Amino acid sequence: MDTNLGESIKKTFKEGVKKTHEIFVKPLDYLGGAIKSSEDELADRLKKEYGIDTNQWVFSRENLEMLEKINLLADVTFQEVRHISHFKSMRYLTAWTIIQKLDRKVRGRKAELDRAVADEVSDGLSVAALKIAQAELMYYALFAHGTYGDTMNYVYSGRDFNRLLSFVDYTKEFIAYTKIMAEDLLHSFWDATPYRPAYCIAHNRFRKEIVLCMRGSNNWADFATDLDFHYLSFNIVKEDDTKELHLRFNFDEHTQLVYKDRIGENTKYFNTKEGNEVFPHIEKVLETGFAHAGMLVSAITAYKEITPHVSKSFIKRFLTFCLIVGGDFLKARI
Amino acid sequence: MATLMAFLYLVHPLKSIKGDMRKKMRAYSYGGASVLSKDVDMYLKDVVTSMVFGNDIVPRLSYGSVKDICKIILMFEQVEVRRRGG
Repeated sequence: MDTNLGESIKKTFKEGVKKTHEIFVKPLDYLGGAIKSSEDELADRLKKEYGIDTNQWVFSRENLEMLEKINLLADVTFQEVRHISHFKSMRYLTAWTIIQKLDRKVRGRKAELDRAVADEVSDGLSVAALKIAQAELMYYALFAHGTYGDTMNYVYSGRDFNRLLSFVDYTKEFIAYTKIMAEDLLHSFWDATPYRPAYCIAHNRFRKEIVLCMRGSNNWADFATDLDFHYLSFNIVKEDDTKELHLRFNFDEHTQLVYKDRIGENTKYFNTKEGNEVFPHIEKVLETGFAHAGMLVSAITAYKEITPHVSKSFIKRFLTFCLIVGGDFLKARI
Repeated sequence: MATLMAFLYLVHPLKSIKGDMRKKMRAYSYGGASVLSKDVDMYLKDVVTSMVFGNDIVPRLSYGSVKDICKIILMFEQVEVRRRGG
């Protein structure tokens, strides 16, 4: 009996492995083959029809014209999928990937943009401005890191488990990381629940500013928020009388059931009703956007909770800046 | 989350801060996930600075990017099918 059971388990396991291979691994092989064959095909056609020898390829600004030619070729080649709305970006992405692969093959290293192209990509920002931004990012990374406490240092060690069992004093660890004084931590909330993120408000004496630190995903509650990845549609509308902006959510029946209570109906700032029932004088819709539902709902929860504390801090201390720092668990550990 | 909070504060500015909120607030996001559509990009351009590390997947993974990947796979499939057929 035991032998049969063992054999059946082995058989099931083998079949499972085989099926997994068929479902997950085979398509990847197929995709790899498809990319390779289309690369070769494109390289051949580029040589024959446009006289571009990809073996002699040197990546530079002039060769961006070649990119256009490749796009033209891709346009002709992939006529079947022209109806797809993102076809243009997809074409560029494909051509870019092919160029990088070809370039890597020829020169044996990753393709690098030359200076002129890099300037275009940096959206008009000068090198000095980029350096300042980098320095600022480095400075506030301490605050972002501090919200996780020592968690970052334990991620790949066996000490994680011990840490889970023990009580973590985030307040103490935040102060140790950021090197602020204890009384400068104005308000903190560390026990995150779904749709309610952990955060703290600190007074940075050196720069005379309020730093609002939002912790990224750190525990099961945060991951529950992350996994709620529906999207919410909203309008930014302008009131005619007071010229104030408002968010108006466009709820369908399903989302209305799930999020209505969390966002709050008929509050001062967030109008959840459809149409112009609550703000009949709103005429102008400035923008329509979409957002990650879990994040937006938790941001609104945090906004409602944090705003009185931030206002109080400003009134008490006459500071000049309000600043928000966000962090993410995965990033900081990389 | 930082991006969204900055967005909310821009839409509903704090009354206790005198002057332009846009000039007095800055937001830094470290490897933040893609949570907003591009339509509201113009509201956040001067305020939010995001940092992405190398080939980190979380900031690059969005509804749009997944759609693009699906379409690229479809496109390559089309090419392969036609190549085999021809």
